[in-house]
Amino acid sequence: MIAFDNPLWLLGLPLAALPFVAPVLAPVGHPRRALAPLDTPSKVVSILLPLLGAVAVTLLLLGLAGLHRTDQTITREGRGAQLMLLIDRSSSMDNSFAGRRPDGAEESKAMAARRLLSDFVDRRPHDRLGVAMFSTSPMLAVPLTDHRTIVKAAIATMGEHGLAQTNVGRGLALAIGAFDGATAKASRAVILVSDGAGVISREVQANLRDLVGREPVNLYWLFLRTEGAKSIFEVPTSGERDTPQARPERHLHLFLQSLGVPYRAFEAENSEAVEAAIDEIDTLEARPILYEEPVPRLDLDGFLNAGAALSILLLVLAKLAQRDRLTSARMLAPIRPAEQAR
Amino acid sequence: MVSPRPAGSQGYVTEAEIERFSHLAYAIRHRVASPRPGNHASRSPGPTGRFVGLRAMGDQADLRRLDLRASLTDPFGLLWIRQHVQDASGTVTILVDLSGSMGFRGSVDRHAVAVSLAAGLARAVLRSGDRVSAFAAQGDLGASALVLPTRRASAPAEIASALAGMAPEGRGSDGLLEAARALPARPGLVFLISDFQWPLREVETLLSALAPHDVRPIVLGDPAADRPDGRFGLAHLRDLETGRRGIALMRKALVEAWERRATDHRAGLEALFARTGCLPVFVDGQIDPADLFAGLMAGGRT
Repeated sequence: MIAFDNPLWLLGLPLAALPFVAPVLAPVGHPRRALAPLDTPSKVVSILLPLLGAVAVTLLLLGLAGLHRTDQTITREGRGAQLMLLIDRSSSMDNSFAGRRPDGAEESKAMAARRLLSDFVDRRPHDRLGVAMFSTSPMLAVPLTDHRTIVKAAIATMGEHGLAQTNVGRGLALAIGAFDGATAKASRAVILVSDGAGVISREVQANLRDLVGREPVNLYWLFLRTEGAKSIFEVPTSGERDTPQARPERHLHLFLQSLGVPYRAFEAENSEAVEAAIDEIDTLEARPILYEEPVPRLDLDGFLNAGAALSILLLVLAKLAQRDRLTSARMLAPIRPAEQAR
Repeated sequence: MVSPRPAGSQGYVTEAEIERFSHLAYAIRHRVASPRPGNHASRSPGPTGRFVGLRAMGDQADLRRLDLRASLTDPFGLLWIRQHVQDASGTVTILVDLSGSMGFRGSVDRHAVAVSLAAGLARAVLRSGDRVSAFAAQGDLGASALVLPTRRASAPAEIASALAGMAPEGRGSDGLLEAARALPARPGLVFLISDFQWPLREVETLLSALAPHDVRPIVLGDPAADRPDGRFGLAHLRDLETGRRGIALMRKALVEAWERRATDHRAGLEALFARTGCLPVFVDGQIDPADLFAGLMAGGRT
């Protein structure tokens, strides 16, 4: 969009006709132009010179009026998705994949996830990303946004120590609810990154079913399995208790499967497996997406002033080349003085 | 009809300068008819002059012109009186073109040249004992009489100040045509002061309107207009008559093309004058009274 800061200056635009009325070059009287016809270069100059003056006036006025292109958002199509990263901030994430306090050689799960998610964010320039975190209670760290920096800053907070518990149900509810209904066209996904799960109460389950029913999202669960922990896919052997309390991860998996939306779970026992899982999510969530790119305001007065300066320079050159008279000799008296008579 | 000129531009020509023209000589080709003695061949009888024959003495005979020999040898004893026609004075008309193009200021101010010439010629006419009348025409704006036939000594100054008070305006030669048609039918000498910057057809129309008279066109040229110097530059030309504007990219080639046109026009004028029997005088740039004298005598250029 083109806009003006001081549109009142535009009232002066009729002045652009001035060079056609008041010529740049002082006119020289000629007794009979029929005997002094213009050739083509002269005709071109005759048209060009007033035009140049009009252009200079117009450009100056437009520059004074503050012509600029407004800041705007352009809708472009790219490949990507709207992703909510739902990150587990329970204290167990501070442990390594081996279930220990990380020493110098190992990475904690949180650090690995942080590093790999950070890379993931860098790889997907067209995604809209949001970050939600949960432990005891969920927190929307960053709503869906195009700003990479703030997303990465949110991911970087995983470096801090986690809190006590894993209340995954409310976290999911928050993450799914974070999608705004307006951008339903794009692919939407929640990536849950956690190393464990908790029991989801019946009320929260009902709430989640309701939410997913209204706003379908793709679900990915990146389960950072601690060494020795039971797999989410593992069916318990006959003697084992198969209750949400005993096997919360398995039952969360079953619950998520039962939601009726595309859902995939990845189990990762080390950072390579996490990377592989993230790569897979990367390929899965690469559908065409309409994303909006903000274009900042562009002040055009620089160009306008440069154009005006160029026009004026040319006009000054023309003015310097002006000939006030047809002859270079000075004007003589009408009668030759007697002493000079031949 | 007479539009005032801004103050300060009066006095194009001084009395001394007018006086420099006073010895210009010219002849009227027609026989003038006037009882007043002058310098031109006439049909008017007078006491001296060209002998035209003898007449038997009658009531109004001038006995001082008694031709003794014819009377003595006359077998019937009649007294014979010699008859003469004396050189008489005529009337000279000065027609001044004051159309827009006469306002051209090149190597000289063409208007000032016209004023000086008209006043100078008027002085020369008075000095020759003739009567002078002057008309000026501002293009198509009409003609005005500056001085009706007179022998007033102040006529040249009157003509000069009247002309200086008129700004060159208007286009074409309609005003001059009007003045030409208003001239008395009796043939006389007409000085036509103009730059003749009209199409030749228009000049011819004017000359045919003046055909009964002995027309001496005085063509004001200016090297600045006919042969501008080819220095590079931009000249914003404005036609003094039509007001048409255009920017000329001045350079050798363009100026040469213009010069060819000016030469062609001048050649066309000369041919036209030769065909109509007018003896033109060309004044290019400054007036040199000596050259003008020669030009009027020879009908050539100064």
